[in-house]
Amino acid sequence: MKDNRSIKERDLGSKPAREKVKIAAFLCKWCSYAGADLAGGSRKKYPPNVIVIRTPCSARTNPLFVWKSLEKGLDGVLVSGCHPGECHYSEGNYHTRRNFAVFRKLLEYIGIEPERFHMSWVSAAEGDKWAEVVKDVVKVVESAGPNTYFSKKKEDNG
Amino acid sequence: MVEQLRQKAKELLKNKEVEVIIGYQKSNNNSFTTPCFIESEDGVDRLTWDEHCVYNLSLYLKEVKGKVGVVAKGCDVKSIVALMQENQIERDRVKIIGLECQMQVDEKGQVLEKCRTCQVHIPGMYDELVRSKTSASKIESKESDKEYSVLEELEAKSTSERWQFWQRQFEKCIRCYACRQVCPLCYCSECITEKSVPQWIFPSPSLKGNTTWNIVRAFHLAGRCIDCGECERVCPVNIPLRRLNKKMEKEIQTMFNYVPGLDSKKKPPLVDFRVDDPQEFIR
Repeated sequence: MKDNRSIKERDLGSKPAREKVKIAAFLCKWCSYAGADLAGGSRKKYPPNVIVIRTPCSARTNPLFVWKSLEKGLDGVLVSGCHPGECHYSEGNYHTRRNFAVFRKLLEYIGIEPERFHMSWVSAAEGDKWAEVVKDVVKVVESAGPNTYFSKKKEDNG
Repeated sequence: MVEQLRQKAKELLKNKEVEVIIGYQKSNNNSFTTPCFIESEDGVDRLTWDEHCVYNLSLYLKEVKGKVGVVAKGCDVKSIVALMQENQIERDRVKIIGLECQMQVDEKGQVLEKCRTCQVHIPGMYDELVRSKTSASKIESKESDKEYSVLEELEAKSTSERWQFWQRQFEKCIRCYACRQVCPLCYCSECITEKSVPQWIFPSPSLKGNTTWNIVRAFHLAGRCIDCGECERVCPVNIPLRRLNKKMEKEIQTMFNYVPGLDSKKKPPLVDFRVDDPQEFIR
């Protein structure tokens, strides 16, 4: 039977599905970002699946950022900040904690797998912990599989 | 009861304690009433009260300037308290005519879902109180009418079933923003859905944009929504919005032991924190 598809379409059809999960990581610049930097500087090995986004404080990470990442097709989101009591702005991370304690319940209720959202406290000295956190998170997000929430709908371009 | 209400309203206007009274008036349809604004003593006869008075009149408090009287049920008073918590209205500017409320009904005569579990038949805060002849405490509450029973059905479902359910609901949304317009706590002068740089929410009705809009609204109301149920009532496509807001209320009550709309001195939970907040989900 003759294949009527264009070369481009045939190429697309033969391409293997995306295997690696992509995770957005929102890191506070005073601790987790420096921690991730330290992990790199000391040549710790961890999976390359995270896309690091630097924020001035973990409290800057609006829950909307998390939803937007999932809506745009990322498979998981990690928010990381300073340990409680060590915030550069003295109380930012307490607010982060409350916000996301509520927001993750909302995500779950809407029908997003809880495996897709993660939070961690990583200080600037904890390069090792950062590598461990990423390994763990990647494993858990992989268990949830690729993000297919909106992939079947074509009418959207938002 | 209506006579008492008119009497109190008349006194307030006569003594120049208020410039305008916001209340309910009869409409040309017997199955619902409409809001009215009364500025003179002879207008008070328009005021009415029955089980069809469902609107939350605290919505207008921010827009009316000067001293204002408002006719309020228990749930409406909760939203007035929430507005005071957020410094949107001043206590001394508002005279609250509280009404001992029974069960309000919708246009079809069905008792409203929120009224079955209502704890505030007598408002928690008022300047004048109009009592009803039959005491509200006599109203029988069934076992199935527990506070959060409306959530049970959805919570029992699996994650993917819930996703399917909400997608079916949000698919219907036509983005008329009636939910926002009717909400007494949606008072932002610029709503995020109207921002175009950056554009957070795709403005046309589309599954993605609708989902984002409804998530954003639910989260923005988390810890603030006092469950007046107006958004669900006005929704032209019948999205069960109350189930979203109620869920947020439930989670906040279990985690932070906070019930919105009861104490005007307390900070709303999401601008507040405690050092020992739950954090078992954080690595």
